[in-house]
Amino acid sequence: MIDLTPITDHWSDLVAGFQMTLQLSALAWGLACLTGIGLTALRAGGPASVQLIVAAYVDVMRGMPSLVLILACFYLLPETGLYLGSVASGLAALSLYYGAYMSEAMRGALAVIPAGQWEAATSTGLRPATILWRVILPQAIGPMIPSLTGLTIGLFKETALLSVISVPEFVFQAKEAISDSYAPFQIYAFIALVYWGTSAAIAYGAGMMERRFNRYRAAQPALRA
Amino acid sequence: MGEGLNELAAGLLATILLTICAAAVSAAAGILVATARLSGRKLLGIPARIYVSFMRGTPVLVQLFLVYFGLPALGLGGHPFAAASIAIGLNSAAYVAEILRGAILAVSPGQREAAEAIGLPPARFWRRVLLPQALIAALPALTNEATLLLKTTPLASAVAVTELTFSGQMIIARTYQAGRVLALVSLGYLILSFAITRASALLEHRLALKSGT
Repeated sequence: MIDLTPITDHWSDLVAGFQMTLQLSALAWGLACLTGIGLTALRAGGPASVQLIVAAYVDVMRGMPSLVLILACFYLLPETGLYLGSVASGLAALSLYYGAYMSEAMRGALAVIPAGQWEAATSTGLRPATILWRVILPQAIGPMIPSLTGLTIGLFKETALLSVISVPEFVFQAKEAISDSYAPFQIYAFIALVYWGTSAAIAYGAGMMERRFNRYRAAQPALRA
Repeated sequence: MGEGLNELAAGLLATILLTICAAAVSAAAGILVATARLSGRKLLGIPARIYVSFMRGTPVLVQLFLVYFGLPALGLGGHPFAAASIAIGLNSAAYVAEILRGAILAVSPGQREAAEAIGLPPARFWRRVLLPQALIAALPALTNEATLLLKTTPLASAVAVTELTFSGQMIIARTYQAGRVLALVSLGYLILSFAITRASALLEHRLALKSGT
């Protein structure tokens, strides 16, 4: 029988850590989505110089390990006079990092929509905002969901790296519990199961969303080819 | 900073070595898992699916700690570099397995029928017909996975492997020059991921010439 006392002894700390992980994931996700939307808009409609800068930013983010960016935000933001503390530095790093990846996913999904859709909508006199909201986005969101789901689960798992800069999230609390009980394997196995279950729940929820957004597509499979 | 540069160079070398070792683990385990999933036997297929789901659903950092603290139980403890190579490799293997599975399924079934018709033994069919085609098809996705693996190696710093990021952190702790050090560290990763993409493009070109497509 597996000894569960290392886990039950530190139950309240572990629960607090997991709550922190969920809060960080939700906040960083929201901020990353906003960053992604902003970058996508700049890349689609900004002046050429801005488009170049955005493309360079996305490339640098994609070529860099997230841990290095987390350390950079942690060490360098205070140097610019922004004393944010480790939680906010971590949030900034994850949002900047995943924002770049999200803008790539959004750009990819928008690029699939034929230019004729814009032209047709414009010729019927729709305003650009209406075209985006009523014509383009309903078609783009469904195909965007699989890659955004992957990024969401990635972001959720990546919050574990914030333990390195002492954010009191799930892994950090697990480490604390281990330094007290010295039962690393049980505790890491336990938190792994919790992460696994949560990732599965995110994937399940996203699958339902995807079916909902793609429901009208079933009638016209030729469009997907 | 001069002494720091030597440390960073040593760290870069350790990162390259770690990437190669982890990639070897990843390739071996990835092929095993992909073939288990394609075998059509539930006894092999279900554990393989659970493996992939676990590896993709949990943080690599937690997987690394599980390997690091799990290896001593198997009598293989006390080697952070080995633990990091195994953990990062096993994680990447889950993604590699899915890439290979997709690429193998994409090879036309007519190929198998043709191989059976001329009496080619299944092992030779896999080695000579199926895998070469599947690998070429999978190469872009595998390259992408290799750069992702490279970007996972800094996690080894969490178990005190002195790779590039850990060397950087040690220099920062000593000199407080975070800006310069982290810029050099990032530059190191950018160069390495660029090198992987370039090498893969060259390989793709050569393989395409060889297969005459």
